[in-house]
Amino acid sequence: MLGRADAMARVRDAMIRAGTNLGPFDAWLATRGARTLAVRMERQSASARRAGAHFSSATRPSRASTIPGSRPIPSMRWLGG
Amino acid sequence: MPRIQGAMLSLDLRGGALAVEGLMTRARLLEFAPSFGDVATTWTYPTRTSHRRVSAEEQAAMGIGPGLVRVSVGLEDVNDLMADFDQALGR
Repeated sequence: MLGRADAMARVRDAMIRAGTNLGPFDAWLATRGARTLAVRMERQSASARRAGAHFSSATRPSRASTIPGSRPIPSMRWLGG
Repeated sequence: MPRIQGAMLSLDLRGGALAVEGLMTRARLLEFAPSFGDVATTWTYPTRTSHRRVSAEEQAAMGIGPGLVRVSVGLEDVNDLMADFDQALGR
């Protein structure tokens, strides 16, 4: 997090009391992961599009079916959790 | 940068539960998993896992049937994924 010193002091206080802070190693992993996030997302999204098109011949249309790029995504609220 | 549309697929397999069983027993790369969020491709079976406590009527209303699987596509070579899917489903 970034912010003004007075705001960050309150955040720091809350983090110490609530224990919501990341450990140093987890924070290091998170920042290292963020560096490659964009290329991973590009790759996964492109693969999902190709795989989805390939898999679609084995599927039947249904309310819950979603394949990125091939048709609008309906009723995602049903699929959470 | 290409448009990012996400890596989640929900597939209602034509072969129903039998096709899902094929995926479960024969897939080598597509890994059955309790939750998502990996660089590897993983998949779940809502009717028997996340939504198992939802009544059959409600599942039907949601579009969740015996053939529905959700796939989180990972970073593997997509050709390997497609080949694994095909061999698991015997096609």
